[in-house]
Amino acid sequence: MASINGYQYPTEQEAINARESVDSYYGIPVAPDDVTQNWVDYQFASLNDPQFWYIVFDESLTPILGTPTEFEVVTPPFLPTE
Amino acid sequence: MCPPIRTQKLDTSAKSSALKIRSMNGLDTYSGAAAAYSLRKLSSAYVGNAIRVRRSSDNTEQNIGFDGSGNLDTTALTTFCSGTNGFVTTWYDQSGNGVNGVQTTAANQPQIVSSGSVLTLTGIGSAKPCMLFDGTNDFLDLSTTLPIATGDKFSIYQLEKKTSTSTIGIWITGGPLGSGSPFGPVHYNNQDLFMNTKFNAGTSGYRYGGTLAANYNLISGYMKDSDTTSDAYVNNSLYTFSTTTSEARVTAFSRIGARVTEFSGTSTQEMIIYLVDQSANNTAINTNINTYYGIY
Repeated sequence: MASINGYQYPTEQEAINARESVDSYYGIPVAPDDVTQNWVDYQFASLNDPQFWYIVFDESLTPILGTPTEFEVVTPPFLPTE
Repeated sequence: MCPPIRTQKLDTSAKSSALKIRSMNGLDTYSGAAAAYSLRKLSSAYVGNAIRVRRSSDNTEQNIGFDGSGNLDTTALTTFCSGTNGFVTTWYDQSGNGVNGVQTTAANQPQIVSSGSVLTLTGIGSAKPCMLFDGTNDFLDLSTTLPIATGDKFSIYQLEKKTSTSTIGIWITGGPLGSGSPFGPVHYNNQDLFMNTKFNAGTSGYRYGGTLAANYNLISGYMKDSDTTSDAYVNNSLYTFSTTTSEARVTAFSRIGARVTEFSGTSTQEMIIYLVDQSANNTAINTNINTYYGIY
């Protein structure tokens, strides 16, 4: 379980819309053949119930996405651990 | 600029394929990488760029190559990023295999220029350019995964200086895969070193433990035939693992700097991956890297 500060979306389309609004704000991509295609990307909380999509907070996102919230994301149990 | 660099004859007995690591004198050679990333020119045969950089002032991008001595072309880099920040969108593979490290999302790109100044690491020699993975969301995806088939081995060389003891050092991993995701040697979020040791038919192992300070380190790890014949070296000294265990693993490397939600918080300058056992040439390869970067 990881505590995430960011933006939570119940559907992937809402996360895509949020990503596109940020891209539009920052003018990304600048050129069609640029490597950089998005300002920020979204993640899928596949192990949460219910599942959701989220964008991790960055200060650059505040003007577009507003104030972030804290939420928990279930992460897979993998090693290494001690 | 770089001080004069001592040349040293390297062991060239290993079977060669694409890569030849070249000293700045153009004298020393070595061979055989599946992928090779560096902020120096590694091969006389390589004619491409070192990195592609996005500057934050207007988000335009530009390739950055090498100067005539094989160093990163910091003149071009600082000109492009004058007064602003620069982030790496692409770390080009110099092996000839085209396995570039790529990040298409701006927020996840490692930084190489801060307010017009190239980030550097300094060991016992002169400062050398580095890129910084922020420990929050930075990583590079391989443009082509590096498969690890049953019985395969690896030899990985990587430079790092963690931003703190609690961050994760540079690593190559199975990327978005969770349980079972493979990893090369990694200076984990404490002072221990971890590494997978074999990938045979879904059952493998990893070793961990020991003590490793968050210094400027050259880490080399060798996955050989079994858990008992895998080794890691730090600054060319054999590392002592305290524990060996086993766990199912999947079979491909696909990402540099992250595994699922675990992100590297470290500076780095070079990572070379061989999918063969090069441990017989451990000292020669480590010496080549250290001769240029002046780590220890």
